[in-house]
Amino acid sequence: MKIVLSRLAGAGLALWLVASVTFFVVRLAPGDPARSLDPAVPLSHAETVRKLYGLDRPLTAQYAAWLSGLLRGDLGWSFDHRRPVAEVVATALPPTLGLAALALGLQYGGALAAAAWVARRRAPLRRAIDTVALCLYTLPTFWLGLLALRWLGHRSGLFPTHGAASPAALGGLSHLADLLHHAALPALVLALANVGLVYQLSESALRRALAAPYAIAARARGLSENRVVWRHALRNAVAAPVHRLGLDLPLLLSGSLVIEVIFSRPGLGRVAHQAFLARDLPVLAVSATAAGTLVVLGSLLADALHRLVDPRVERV
Amino acid sequence: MLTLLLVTVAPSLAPQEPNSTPDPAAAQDRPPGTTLYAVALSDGRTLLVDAIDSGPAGGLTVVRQGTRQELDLASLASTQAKPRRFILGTDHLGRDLLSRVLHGLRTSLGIALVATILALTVGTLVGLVAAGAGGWLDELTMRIVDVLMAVPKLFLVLAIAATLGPSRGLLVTLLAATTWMPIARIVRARTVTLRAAPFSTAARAIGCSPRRVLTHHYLPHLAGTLWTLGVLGVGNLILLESALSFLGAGLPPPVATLGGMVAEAALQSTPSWWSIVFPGAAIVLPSLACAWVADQITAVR
Repeated sequence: MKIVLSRLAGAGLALWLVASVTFFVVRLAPGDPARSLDPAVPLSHAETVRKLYGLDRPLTAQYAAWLSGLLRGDLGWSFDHRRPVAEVVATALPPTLGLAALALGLQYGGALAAAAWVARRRAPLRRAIDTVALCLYTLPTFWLGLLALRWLGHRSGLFPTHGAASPAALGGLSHLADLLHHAALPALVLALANVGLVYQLSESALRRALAAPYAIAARARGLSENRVVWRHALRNAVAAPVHRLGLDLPLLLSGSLVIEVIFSRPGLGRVAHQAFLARDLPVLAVSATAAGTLVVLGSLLADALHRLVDPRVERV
Repeated sequence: MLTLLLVTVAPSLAPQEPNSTPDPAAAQDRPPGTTLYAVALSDGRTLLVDAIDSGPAGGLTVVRQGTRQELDLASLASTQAKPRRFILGTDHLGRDLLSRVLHGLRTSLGIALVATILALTVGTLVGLVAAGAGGWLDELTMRIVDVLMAVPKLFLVLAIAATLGPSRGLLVTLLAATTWMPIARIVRARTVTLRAAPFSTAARAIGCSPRRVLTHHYLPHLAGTLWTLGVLGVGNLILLESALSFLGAGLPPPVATLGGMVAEAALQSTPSWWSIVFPGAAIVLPSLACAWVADQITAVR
């Protein structure tokens, strides 16, 4: 209980810092938001805009308004969408969460399965797969996404090329299938782009686990090598990559921004990119905060997961 | 490393102007390996033609965009035609892809190098100071570093870039500002272990000033780590810079950036494979080289 409370307090502090950092980063950057859209805006008009969005008030007052707004869920008004920012960002969250969850599942599942498969193969093959992992790590996400979109989306028509769901309303299971169909290719690309590091971690952890005394003992009892790898070693090797999960989340969300832009998925990343193109600062600040919040909450989950798969973690 | 150096000086090898072409209509979307002939006209224009032959009355017969044209002597500035080879083909505006890729590479590498040096400097300073000071300052700095690392880079960079016009200096600062945090963390962690080592206790015992301990005892031990981080950082920043220019937050056109080239090509209704594949490969190769070198450095140490 005590651990949970201290973790929550830490997360709360982190959330406050995230909100403050994004506020100051956006507001303190030189340049006048009221005139950045169009430098030709007359001064009097810019003055009105500034008043309208409270940009004429002192920074401390703006900061206080930002924080209290965040707490109350009142995030201001979007210049571009002409809707409350909270609404814009809230509708963008589900597609991003779905994409991220699917990509993470593919990434970790794929990495662990590959590591388990490779563990029983010869050294040259292991080195070859290592090289492939290194190459995947350096592939730009947007490039991989574009190639996949062209050849698997447009050219062959196997996957839908944009959106998170078909416009026609579907009920129940077919709706779920439709969502999965739309998310499959983006999630696959995202998982491929990030799988390299996770694979290397899992592979080295698994190798260590297979050399451990308990693995030797399991073999001595006459268990098949398959059983030793999948039932004994893998369970222990899972802890290392899961421990990194929290640190990988920012990378995952940055990647999902690019992927959402390419596949035109109406998620947080695309909202942020559109806001960037339209210089819609309130939406940008909130989506950056939302992304940071997702990471903080995700790290909490990852922490809990790590404790679950590795009970040896010291109780702080 | 050699590849990196080669690529840095490569723009002097670029065969053609990266941002313009004399005859856009005739040269657009040509596949790799195309050779066109440049015919100078007397009115100052230059035509790029597929085939060339001697025509009537000392003029030339040319094939341009699939049609035969007779050019008489009066309209020609010279009867000599210069062959132009487009090794990687041309883009949708008829610009030589090889030249643009080389220029884009130089831009990316230059920005990534300078930003990495900046990030290394800031990260090392923050890490050393945090480890040296200890106590609440250390705690506070690391908390802030944690939080900065928690906000996904692209969201943060887009938020800052939205209020500022794009420029080389700004881009370098932005990239450095989003990458110094892990460096600070690692430097701090290494320094804390170094501080507990017997040699640093000895150094303090014989009366070295804190500054001397830092510069003469800690930094040499950190050098290897910093090299690895630096090389890895250049590779990562090439990727980040190209992602930014792909999203439109990099240097504005017509400057050739690798990410921008991919984005421009993808916007076409029927993009040619070479205009997407070659700039992409030009991003992958240097970042792969960096990752590999960093891997080797770690393996050697």
